[in-house]
Amino acid sequence: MSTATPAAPPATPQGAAAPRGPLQQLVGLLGSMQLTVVLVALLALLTLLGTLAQVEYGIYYVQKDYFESWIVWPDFGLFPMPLPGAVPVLALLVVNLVIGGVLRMRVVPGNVGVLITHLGIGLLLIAGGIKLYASYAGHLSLQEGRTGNSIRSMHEWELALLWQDGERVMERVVPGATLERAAGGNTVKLTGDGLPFTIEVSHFFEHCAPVQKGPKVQSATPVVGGNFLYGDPTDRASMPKEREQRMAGCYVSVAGGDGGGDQMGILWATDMLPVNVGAPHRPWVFRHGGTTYGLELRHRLWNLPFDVQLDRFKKSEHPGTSMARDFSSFVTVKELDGTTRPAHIYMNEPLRKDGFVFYQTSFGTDPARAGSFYSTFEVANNPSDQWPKWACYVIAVGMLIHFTMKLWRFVAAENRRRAEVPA
Amino acid sequence: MKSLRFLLPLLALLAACGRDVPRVDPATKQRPAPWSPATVEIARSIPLQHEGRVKPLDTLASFTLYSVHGRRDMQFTYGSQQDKVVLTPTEWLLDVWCFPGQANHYPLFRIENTRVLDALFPDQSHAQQQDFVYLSYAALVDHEADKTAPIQRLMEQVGNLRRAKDEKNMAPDEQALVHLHRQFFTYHTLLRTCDSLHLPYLLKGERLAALFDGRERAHYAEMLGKAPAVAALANDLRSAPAAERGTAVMIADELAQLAQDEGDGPALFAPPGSREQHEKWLHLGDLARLALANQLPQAQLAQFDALERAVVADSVPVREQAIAKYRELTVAAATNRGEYDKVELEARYYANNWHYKALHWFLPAFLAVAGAWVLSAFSPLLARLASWTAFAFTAIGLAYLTGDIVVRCLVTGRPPIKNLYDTFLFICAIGVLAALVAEVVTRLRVALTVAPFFGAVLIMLARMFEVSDGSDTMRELQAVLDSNYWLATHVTTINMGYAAGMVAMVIADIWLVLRALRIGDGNPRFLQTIVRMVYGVTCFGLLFNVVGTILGGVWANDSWGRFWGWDPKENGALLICLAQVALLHGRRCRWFGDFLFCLFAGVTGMVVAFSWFHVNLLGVGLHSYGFSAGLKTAVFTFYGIQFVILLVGAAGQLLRFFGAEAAAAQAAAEPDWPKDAEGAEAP
Repeated sequence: MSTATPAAPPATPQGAAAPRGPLQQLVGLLGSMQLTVVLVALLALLTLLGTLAQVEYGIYYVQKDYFESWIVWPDFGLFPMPLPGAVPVLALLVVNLVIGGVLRMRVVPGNVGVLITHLGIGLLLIAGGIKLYASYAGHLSLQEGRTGNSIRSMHEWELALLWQDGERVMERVVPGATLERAAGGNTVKLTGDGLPFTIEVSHFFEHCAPVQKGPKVQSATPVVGGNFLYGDPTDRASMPKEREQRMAGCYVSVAGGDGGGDQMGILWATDMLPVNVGAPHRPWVFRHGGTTYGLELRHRLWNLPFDVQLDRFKKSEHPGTSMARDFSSFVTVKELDGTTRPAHIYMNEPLRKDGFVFYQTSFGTDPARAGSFYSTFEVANNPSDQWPKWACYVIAVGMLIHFTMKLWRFVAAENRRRAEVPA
Repeated sequence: MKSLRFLLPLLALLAACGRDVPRVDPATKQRPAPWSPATVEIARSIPLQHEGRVKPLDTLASFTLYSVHGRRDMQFTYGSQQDKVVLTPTEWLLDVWCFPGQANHYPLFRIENTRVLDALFPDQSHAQQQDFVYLSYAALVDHEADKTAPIQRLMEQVGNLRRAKDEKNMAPDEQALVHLHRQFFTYHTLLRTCDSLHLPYLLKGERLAALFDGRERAHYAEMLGKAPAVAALANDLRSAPAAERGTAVMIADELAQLAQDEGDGPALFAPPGSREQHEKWLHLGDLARLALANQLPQAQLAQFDALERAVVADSVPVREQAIAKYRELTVAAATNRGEYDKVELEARYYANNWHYKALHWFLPAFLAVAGAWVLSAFSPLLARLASWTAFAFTAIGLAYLTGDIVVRCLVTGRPPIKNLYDTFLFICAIGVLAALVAEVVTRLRVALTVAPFFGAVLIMLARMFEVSDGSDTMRELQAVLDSNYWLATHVTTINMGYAAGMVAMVIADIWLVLRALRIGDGNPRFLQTIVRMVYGVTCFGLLFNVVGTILGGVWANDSWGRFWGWDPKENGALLICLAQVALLHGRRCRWFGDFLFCLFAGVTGMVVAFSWFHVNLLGVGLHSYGFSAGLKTAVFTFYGIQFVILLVGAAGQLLRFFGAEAAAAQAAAEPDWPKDAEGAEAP
């Protein structure tokens, strides 16, 4: 009798199968459905714990700790119990899927739907891997009439050394990961090729604020120009949960400046504040060897291969309310060869250009010009941008085939059963 | 006693600025007789604009009552005979606008927390208060001359609380205070919409009176009609002696101030021109602004005049005629703007109340199927008749529910799901449909039991949510949701997955309870078919959950620039997919026999509830909406009930394993775990 229940593989008579070697056993284990169940359950547990953890820790840190990590230490409160992070679980799931769900699957008509579904899921997981390791995203805020050609990371910082060489502004950049080593009393020395001086970075804080030193104010960090940086990395409650709301800071010291002796400065990354949209950059400056240098702590920048100009920003609200109905930006894309083309970016309708995708994210009133707006775009560069959509189609087709066949068999079996049983 | 004038700035201003003592004091004006059914019917579909959309007056009244009163009608006892009075939403709103002095004494604000009463009335003891009480608006604003009004205390305390902490972090009694504060001002805003119309203008000064044919008083509409002349006269007389100046300057100043009022309540007057030219309807302040600029069209002035006559009328016929006239004018204006057809449809939708009628079919359907189970032991024929009756009743209920959803789509011009409320109706319809289809295939009467039960519970939950949320269920959408394509694909698909997950859970629960109670032990095929139903519905759910979740990611990619952001709602959807994938693979590899399969299908139902509602309550992420204390209680109650059912199922299974009788039964019959009887039949 045929039913719609899951088809169990036929039991192998004991002793009939040849003994398997360790490699075969390993491949068998990696491709087994039991491993699928374990991995999927682990992923579900991580997802649940990561979701609940967001209430306290914010999405960025949970993403890093739970979903982009190799090992997780969930906060159970009573005892530490490590769990594998989402990276090894998903990697194993891909292996499991490829071996068990594709390579070792019997190609029979009954399995066609499952095979297609597994291929779609594989495509989806690969797209996720590419997104994790090969994509980057930032945002671009433009005032009406202004042009921009770089995007700013929401989460990563960098230290930029700037100086002028003739007409050109030269720039050297130190990544945020290096700066973060200067936290907690450590010092990081930066000595680049050809740099005539050494820069020391110290007292890096992920979130801090400059404070004026008064007679009754104690300072745990150096006082420079009457101010010092205050931050307490152990006091998570006092910090914004979300990383994009945190304002990093550090001390920089340059040996052997033109004034003689060391020059020390305080850097504070405020470039994300709405009030600084379009504002001129004001790096900390020092002179060395007759050249003026600037040091700037900022969110990481990526340059675009074209310019984008915000011509006009438009927003509308539902009548008589302050609830936004639509907000959209009319922009002009300017190629390096001087050609231009207009584009309209609005909710659910991004602009795709040369691998970059511009999404309408938010807007605000221009702090510098009353009645004028600035518009903020999320800009992503993701090689696997559209893969999930294709994966969705593949999975849908596969599951439709499989479950339709199952349903057909189930209905047929029920009809036969009723025919067998006298009324 | 005196009223709190500071809460009624417009009225206070008017009283000080040349407005006459009304012919009938609105504070004491009482409705002489109940509203006639014809007038109520006329008033129900008067169009107005509120919260961004044009809707019938009845919708505004209903959801305001939900919001401030917790019910859709107003019930109280009256007079020495304690006669019970029940007002429909439209009757209540007509009272608020035409008889504010009476309406302000209605028992409106439901207070369940005695700490709130302590905060409002510190001189009284409420320790013995066991039940909730209703407070009227008047009870909050009226006070002894030398004492502080309760509303003042409330405002001070809420102000302090809001400065100290976020509402989410407040204690329940503090949240109740903030809630009452919000309710108070919701009603207050509604009250203010027409309160100033009760006072006619006192025309003092020869030149001012001359503008109005020598009369001593003038209506508001008349004043708006001559606003430019009054303003010009006031400019002339500004430095004239008081006797000559009369009330002209005060009236002109009042009109000028009124013209600054943007209005935060419903807009009652359809504007001139097309919808493209003037989308926003007009408040009283807009009329004053247009009148002072000599740009107030006669059509809008006529609408206002009719409303004013309805509000101030002393006699019933005059009032009813004025209401009819006001409706006629606004309907004509709205029709010309292409805004009325949906208003009429919406008014009929709420009058028909089809989803409530569906509930009235699901309940007897459930009784009929229960009867069929009982009758099956005595008379198969009667049992079959009862089953067919249950099926027919359920199908009729489903037809009503489908009609309800379709009309909502027509009114809003959107796919079936726009907000959390819609999910109840949609999931209910899909769940009932899925169960009926399963019944057609299996004919075991199990799915037929599930269908009306599921339908009735979901509709009752929808109504509970509607009351606790207290906001318009057809409200306009945020910009990011304004996409019929994605609402029709992602949202619809994933909610079909939710429905399947919940139906699978209910069927699995039935299996667990039947097994625990040892019902059906003599008919293993019966129990196996139930498991197959759980399997089939889970497959159906997985298809829609996976596709819906990925489509959600594709939408997020187009809206927010990333396919997946580990947002709680996304995670919830993923959790359902993972739970169902684990369930089906565990079944396939024979880890899950019948018992474990049903047990985890029950757990998957809890995961669906987590994704459907619980993640919205976490207060983080991009889907943090629909938060209410009532919803939180409902979610945890559901977890509790489901946990008990799973516990009962697990206990029954344990007893089978360890009991002597179970051992004997296992030896005699096919064991269902770990050697799955069903698995042996599988191809």
